[in-house]
Amino acid sequence: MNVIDPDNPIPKYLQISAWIRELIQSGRYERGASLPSEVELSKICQVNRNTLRQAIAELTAAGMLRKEKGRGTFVCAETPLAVTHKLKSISSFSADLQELGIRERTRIIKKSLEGAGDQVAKKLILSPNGKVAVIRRIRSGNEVPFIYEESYLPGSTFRDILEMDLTGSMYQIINDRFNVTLARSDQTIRAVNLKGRIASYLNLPVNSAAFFMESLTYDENNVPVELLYSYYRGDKYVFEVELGRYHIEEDNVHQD
Amino acid sequence: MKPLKDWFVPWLFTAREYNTAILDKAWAKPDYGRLMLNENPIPPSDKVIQAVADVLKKGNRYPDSMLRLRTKLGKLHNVGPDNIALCNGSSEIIDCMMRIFLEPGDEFIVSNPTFGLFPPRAELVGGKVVSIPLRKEDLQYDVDAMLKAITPKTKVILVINPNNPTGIFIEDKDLIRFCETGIPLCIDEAYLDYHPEISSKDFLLKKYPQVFLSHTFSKAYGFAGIRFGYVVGTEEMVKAFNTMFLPWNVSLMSMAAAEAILDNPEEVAEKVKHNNRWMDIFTKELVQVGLKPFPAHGNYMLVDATMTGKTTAQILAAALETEHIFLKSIPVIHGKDGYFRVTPGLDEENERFVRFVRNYFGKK
Repeated sequence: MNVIDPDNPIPKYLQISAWIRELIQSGRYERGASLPSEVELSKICQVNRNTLRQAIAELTAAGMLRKEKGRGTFVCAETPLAVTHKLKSISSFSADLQELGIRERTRIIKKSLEGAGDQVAKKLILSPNGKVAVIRRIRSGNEVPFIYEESYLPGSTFRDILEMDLTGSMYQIINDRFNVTLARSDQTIRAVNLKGRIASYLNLPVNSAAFFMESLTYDENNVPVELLYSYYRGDKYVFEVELGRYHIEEDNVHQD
Repeated sequence: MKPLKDWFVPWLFTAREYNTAILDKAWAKPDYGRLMLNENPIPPSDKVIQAVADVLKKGNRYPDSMLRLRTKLGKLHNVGPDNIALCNGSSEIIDCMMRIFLEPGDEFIVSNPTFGLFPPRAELVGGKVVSIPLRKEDLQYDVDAMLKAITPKTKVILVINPNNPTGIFIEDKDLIRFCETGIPLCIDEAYLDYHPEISSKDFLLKKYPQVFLSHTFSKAYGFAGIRFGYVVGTEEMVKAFNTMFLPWNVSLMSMAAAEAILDNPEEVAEKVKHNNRWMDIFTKELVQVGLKPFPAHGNYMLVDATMTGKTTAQILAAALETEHIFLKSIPVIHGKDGYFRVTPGLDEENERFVRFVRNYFGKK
């Protein structure tokens, strides 16, 4: 078996780390198991040890592997499973997990009506002294925390949501109880290292890798109805995007 | 050479005039009470002034489409930003609706009396104004007569709610009869903000896409000189207005002022409270001397003084002379002279009006 495809433009070390990641995620190496030695692995992959170390370093940084001096490299992901979130249509964590047949658990850290503050007010197009319903939750699957999220909803419309059962999909509640259709969402994703409070919510050491997603969701009238800040564990979440065909840019005539 | 006047379109000479000469008189006499123009007597707050001053520093730039402001306005009507077109006071809506719907010879149905700016704007595009008198008994819209006046040439109908100058609300069932005709209908809600307990007719837009709402900040918001208004309609309707409006029709300063006051609804609430308190006092005082004020729901009150034998011109002249207050002249209604209209001003001006009513109409 060839781990590396020489025709693939992706750097060799990334091809190797993807392969190891797959081995872990498919359950071939469970948590606490040790990987073959670097010598062995570089033979299997037919690369020099520097390239191999680069691949291992990648997974160590992602919190998937742990190196112990003199003992070897160990798997430290808590579950072999990663949740895939498709960036295609608005979908909830509940739906992501259901697809995998995992039991969802949501713990509410805090919910309250708060002053929006400049940044949130601006994003949700509220007045600077406007109020927002803020809901902070940890979303877990099979008792493993996957996401920490903070949801901000315009208080004038969604004040009553604070009294409702928020341990499931809020999108369902927004749709069913408030009659608001979620029409589209603008999302940005970036890499972050988790700080103390949030790292502990996710049961991870401080500075573990994570995805930070900001989603601004609009109703059918193009009015923003939810600002959501989500921290996804870097070792447990896979984002999947399907892209269309490559678009050849024509010479643009710039017009003022 | 052809004389200049022969180059002008003919309706420039035949259209009736909206006379604003009273403004020059009023500005020239700053100590006179301006109780004739349905203005708000309370000046803009410091918050509004600060917002305008801040944006003035960017006054070298063209404004954008103000998505934020349109979104905030849309929220007032449960619609989105694309259902709102911004304009330089609702006078711009009055002008553009004629240019959107009327070709020369087409008809515009309106009640009589009405806000005086509507007829000339229709006539200035060659349109024909079909005026239907208010019902004699209660000065309500004569819905039957207005519907009867519809011809294949009728292209737009106007309902002001509450009506100007009567201040009377139209009932939903009557309004829906207009909607059911399918003919474009302007519902002018200029004075609705004085009654936050009464809902806007925005709920009609989903079922009747030919209906649009006209809103102004000149009244309860007190922006008559700042100039700001907006249209609420379907996206198709709003697009038509935006096509007809000039680009950059609203200045950055007006829009900043509008956003600042929307962010501070207490400012409007206070202005409304002041107005409604004095409307109640005026009503009591007028009834006491035997006049008939109409149950008014804006910042103005139509007063029937025809039973006193005084003409409108005499009443206006006396108020101006004795108490230095301007009142609004109302043309003869159903053959009777002696109607006038009054708008609450500042406390001291209102006290002068009350004194005028007592002295001029009260028992000697």
